[in-house]
Amino acid sequence: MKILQAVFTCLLQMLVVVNVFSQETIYTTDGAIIEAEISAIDGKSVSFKPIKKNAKATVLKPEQISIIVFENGHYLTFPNPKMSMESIKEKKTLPNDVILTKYVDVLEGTITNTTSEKIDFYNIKSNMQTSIKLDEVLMVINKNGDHTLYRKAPEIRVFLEHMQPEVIALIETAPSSISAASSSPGRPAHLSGNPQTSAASVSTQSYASESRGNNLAQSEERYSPPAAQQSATVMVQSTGAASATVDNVSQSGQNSGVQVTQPMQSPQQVQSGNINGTTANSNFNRNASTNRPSELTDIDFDEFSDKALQKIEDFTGYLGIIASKETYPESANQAIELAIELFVSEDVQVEVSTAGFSSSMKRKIRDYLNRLKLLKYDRVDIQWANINYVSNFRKAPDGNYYGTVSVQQTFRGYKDNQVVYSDVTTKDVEVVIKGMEKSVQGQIEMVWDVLLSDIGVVDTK
Amino acid sequence: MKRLLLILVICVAQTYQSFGQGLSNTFYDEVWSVKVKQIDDFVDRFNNEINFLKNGSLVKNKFSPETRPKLLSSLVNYDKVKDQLLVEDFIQWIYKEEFFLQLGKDNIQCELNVDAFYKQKKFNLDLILKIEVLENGAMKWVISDAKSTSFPWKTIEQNPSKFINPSNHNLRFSNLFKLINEGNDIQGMFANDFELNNFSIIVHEIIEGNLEIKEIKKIDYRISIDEKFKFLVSYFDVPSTPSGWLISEIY
Repeated sequence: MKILQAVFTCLLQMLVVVNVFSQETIYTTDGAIIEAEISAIDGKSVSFKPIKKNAKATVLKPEQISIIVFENGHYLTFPNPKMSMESIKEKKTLPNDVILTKYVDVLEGTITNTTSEKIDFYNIKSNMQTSIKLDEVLMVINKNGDHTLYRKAPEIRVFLEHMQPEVIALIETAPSSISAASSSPGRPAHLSGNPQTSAASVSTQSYASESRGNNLAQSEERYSPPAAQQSATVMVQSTGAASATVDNVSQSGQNSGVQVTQPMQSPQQVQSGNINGTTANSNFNRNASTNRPSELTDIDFDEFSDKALQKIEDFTGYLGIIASKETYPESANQAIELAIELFVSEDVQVEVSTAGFSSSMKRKIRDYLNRLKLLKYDRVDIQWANINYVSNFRKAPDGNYYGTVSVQQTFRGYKDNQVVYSDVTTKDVEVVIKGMEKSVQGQIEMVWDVLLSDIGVVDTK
Repeated sequence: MKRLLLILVICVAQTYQSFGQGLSNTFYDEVWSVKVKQIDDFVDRFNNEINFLKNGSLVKNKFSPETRPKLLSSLVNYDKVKDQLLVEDFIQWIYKEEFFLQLGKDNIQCELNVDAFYKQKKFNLDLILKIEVLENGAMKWVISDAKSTSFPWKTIEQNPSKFINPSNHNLRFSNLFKLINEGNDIQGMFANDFELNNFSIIVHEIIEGNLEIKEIKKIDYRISIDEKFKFLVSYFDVPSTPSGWLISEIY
């Protein structure tokens, strides 16, 4: 029986892992994968010649294509690529291996091992050896330019489009070496690859995120390939000399999230260690008044502030995905689930009011997102004010810490390349630093997670 | 306000080099950048600090004491507070006495003007809140009082014809049956210094499910300084500077 299972697994692997050798890879909306040499891309067509013997030059409409991945590992998303083919092709390969996750995170590091369940890699930002479940991975881009898609291209196209600026930024902000990489405190270890993480954060902290894994295990079922024939479009590995090895493609029912081992601090340790904690600061501190009374809870929560803003940005990213017409319904639903996981509970409310109008509407987060899904734009563009504010975090009777982040955003919805809706909104987002007891090597320790709570939205313009 | 803008610009310039990475897709809005965005932001600035998130990174700036009058001045809405001498006196006193604000102290209370409904009938209600600090350092906002110019329930006035007569104790207070059980003629049963506690009635009616609030129309913070000054901080959502939480009244 075991032999039969092994044979079956081997056969399944052969069916679903498609090795792609060099050149550009075109992933079409109907699931086809074409290795090709592309001659031109314009707004109306993509001209290419498949790399097959006796293949003829072919033209596809942009609407027929989901993604094109180039030899250097960079990609264009269709039907409205954000960059020209020329500018993408001239990009250097990435300085490190990159994992794009369903959390819309770009994790940079060195992949050390890939199994049927997880990818082991050294996270350059967190400076830690980490594992990430395969079912959390959308795409892997190896530093030699090889790539692997772990989902159907049409389903992840919008996610990849959203992450593209971050991926490209990795070339421009490439660290000199792994050992010199800055840590990414204030962000859960499995999300620590984001370049926005503050350089000002000073202390280390671990965060619990177990609940995420369970929910994702459920949502993941929607992505299970229904048949081997379709599976071929689900997981495509572009192989080269240094590409990762996929041993087994059978989907695991378990989802324990990313496992990270890291020393943890008790909240008392954090407090005592960081009172009047430092941040990278201006010269104004030199003459700072020492008379200001410190609040009872005025401990250094800089890293939590950073993390809170990151979560809000993640949330905004999901809003863009949910509101886009090009997002597959399944992807939109998944984005809704992922967005909700950023919140402390489903009972949180989003209050929407318009400047100049006295009344406001309150909706529960899921209802708010489901309504947003109905607003379909060809694409959306969300920008942040570069100056925002986060309040002190204060301890509440439930033992958690509460703060508020105030941010300003612009939202533009496009149809036929025309802005059909735009607004400038101020969002006041309540942030909860939630403590949870966790058993670590037989000892109970507190771990802290940053979650979003009620949101007040005011249209200002 | 120009001074504050200058200060902020200096802050941003000073920290620019420190934080090369940040949010990838940002814009600069001067009004928003200078806006006093939260009451916490107001407290920071009152205490001679300007803290903000720049491209996702927390930037803290504590200023030298000499800067404080300028920063305090930027927190006053001069369209509302016309008395320049009073403002100057106020600022100088805070500066010289080195007075600092701290959320959680009794001298800061919040006044909420809400649209309240009692048995589906709208009435105007002001809730007074303050922060209560627990023994373990945890905090919470608590409602400390409620005011209205039109409570939707009957008020009690003394009625000289309604009382428990001074010898009624000899009849084991037989007057009580008449006063309590027959109609609502309870006026006169209570001591002269009795005042109907509307706040307690509100608590009771909330428990009974008879009272709900539909909207918070206005929020002000009333702050007292050692019985020397009191001032009101209100929110000004205007597309120009100054905006946000500003001092609207000093007295």
